Amino acid sequence: MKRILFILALWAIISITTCKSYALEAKMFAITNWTSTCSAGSRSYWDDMCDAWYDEITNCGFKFFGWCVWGHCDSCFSRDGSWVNGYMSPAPFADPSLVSWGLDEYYLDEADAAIICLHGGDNNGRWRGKTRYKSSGDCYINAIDEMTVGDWDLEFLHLSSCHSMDDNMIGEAWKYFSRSGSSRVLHQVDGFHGCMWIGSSFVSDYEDFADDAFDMNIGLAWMENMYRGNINGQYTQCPIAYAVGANANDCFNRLFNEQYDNVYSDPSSVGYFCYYYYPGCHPACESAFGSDWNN
Amino acid sequence: MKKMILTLSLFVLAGILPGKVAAADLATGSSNLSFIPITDLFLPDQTEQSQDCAIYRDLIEKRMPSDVGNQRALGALLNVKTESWLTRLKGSEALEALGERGSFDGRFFENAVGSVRSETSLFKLNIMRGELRYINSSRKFNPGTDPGKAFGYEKGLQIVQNLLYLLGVPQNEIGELEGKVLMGAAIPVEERLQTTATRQLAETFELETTFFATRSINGIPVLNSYFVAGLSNRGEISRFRLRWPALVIDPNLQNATVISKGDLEDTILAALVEHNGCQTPETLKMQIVYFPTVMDVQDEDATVEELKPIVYAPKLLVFFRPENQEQSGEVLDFNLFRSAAER
Repeated sequence: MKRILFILALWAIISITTCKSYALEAKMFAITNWTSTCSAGSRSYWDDMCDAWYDEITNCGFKFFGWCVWGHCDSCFSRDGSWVNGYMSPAPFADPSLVSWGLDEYYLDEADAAIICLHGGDNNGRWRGKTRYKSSGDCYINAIDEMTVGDWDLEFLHLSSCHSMDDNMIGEAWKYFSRSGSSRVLHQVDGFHGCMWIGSSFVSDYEDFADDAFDMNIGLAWMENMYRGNINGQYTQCPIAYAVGANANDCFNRLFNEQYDNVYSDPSSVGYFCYYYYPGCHPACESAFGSDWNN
Repeated sequence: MKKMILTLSLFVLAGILPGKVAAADLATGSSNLSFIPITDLFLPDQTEQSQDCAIYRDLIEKRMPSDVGNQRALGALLNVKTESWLTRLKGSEALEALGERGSFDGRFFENAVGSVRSETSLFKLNIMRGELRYINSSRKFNPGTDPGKAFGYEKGLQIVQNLLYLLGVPQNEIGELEGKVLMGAAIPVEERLQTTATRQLAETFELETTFFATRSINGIPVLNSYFVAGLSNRGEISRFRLRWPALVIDPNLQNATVISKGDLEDTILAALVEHNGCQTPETLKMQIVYFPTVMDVQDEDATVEELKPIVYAPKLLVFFRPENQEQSGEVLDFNLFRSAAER
């Protein structure tokens, strides 16, 4: 009897293995306080929110008799870099084909999934994010003429940032997804129409988003977990999930089916963009979604 | 053919195993890019800081709920306790309503923590968090076969309300319940969206109706306790998350005393100045809520995070957003009570 118990115990120990396949890489970039060089206040929970995403997407858990417990086992991403504050300037997000000082192939575009958590605004119909220090005399990463990702490696970009996908940006956002001369293409950008909110009560939303995106499509997981209705008259958040494809069917197929554990090959071309939205969603800092496509 | 995988009741094993990978992060940051301006090493982050920002102080006084600092009024918020929805759960009927009775055994709900899958569906249960997640991947929108028109709102609302009843959610705790139609659009990149004429070229679909329910007890919102469900265009529940823990007040608040209104105003003012300098606010609102906290256990290493129970404390939320359109809003939370240990 003791021998049987010993063998069972040994079998259990052997069967319990943490699983670290590390096929795909995740990175996070967050700012919680800005500087006198680039002043913009502080938001102490922003890194916690994005860290919740980072911890969950890289949560491998363990296998128990072949079952995956409390994690994503073989599908979990590797922890490829967590950058909070420090000397964060626009350079790590800028593409060297667009600006000579761009370094995105070593930072943002070097991951497979990345989240950027910092203040954002609308710069002539494209998102711009405010960093802590300047590159080329400017505190902003300007998506309009400095940012194109996916041409190196990135597949999924999540923007925890105000105005990261305003309705007036929808028509041009596909230009983030690649650059001429590269066969690599970003798959999806997720962001917000208008302003979003920071606080301890939002931390679990980011963990839930990452967790759900292993069980349902990434875009829908973003929409469900980031939407906040006008709860008690206080705040509204309007998420947008945005993908590209060679044609409409290809685009929808990607938007409706890509998960963190079901990553497609890059689109063969960018012929269509497609997106999820809640019509009429009306956040702070913006008009209702779809009511003014020019602003 | 049902295929069940149960991963549950692993308290003992969980205590000796890592919950998350402890791989070292790349400590990027200032070491990667050199030359921080010397002035930034010594100056505070805010150029507009003011220790007594009059505009904040005035607004804080005006917006402060009248019950703050009132031992009798706030003390009543501590005398609340609700039971888990599991005590009222009609498991078999809920599975029937979901169209899953043939695939799952209602005895799954007798477990504390675990997940169970069929070929198309997934349930995740965590009783410690009052949480049940359901996803049926076969019911997500399929542009080739599904109608691109949302299911009727009123009928959909009834389906969702019936599900909430079968899950055991008390009717009197359901706050707002709203449905939003989720849309999908596809547009050729050359057409874009710049004019009304080209927007009409977009292929758009109504993909589902997403229902969101908030929770409140005696009119006090319970933060991060909610129900969300996707209703397919065919009128089937495609997924839901119920996060509705039993409301148990943090035991550390036994014999707690309220923080005076003046002390709280000073604390809020200091926090707002620290975070925003003294920028003109566009929004400054306040609200008393039940705020969730993961309860500490005696031996921190003896249990994984997912198994720690949730307890609640009444707190004051302060919603602040500066006039500057490029700065996000912030929701700060403040204690309303000082525990006996803190006095």
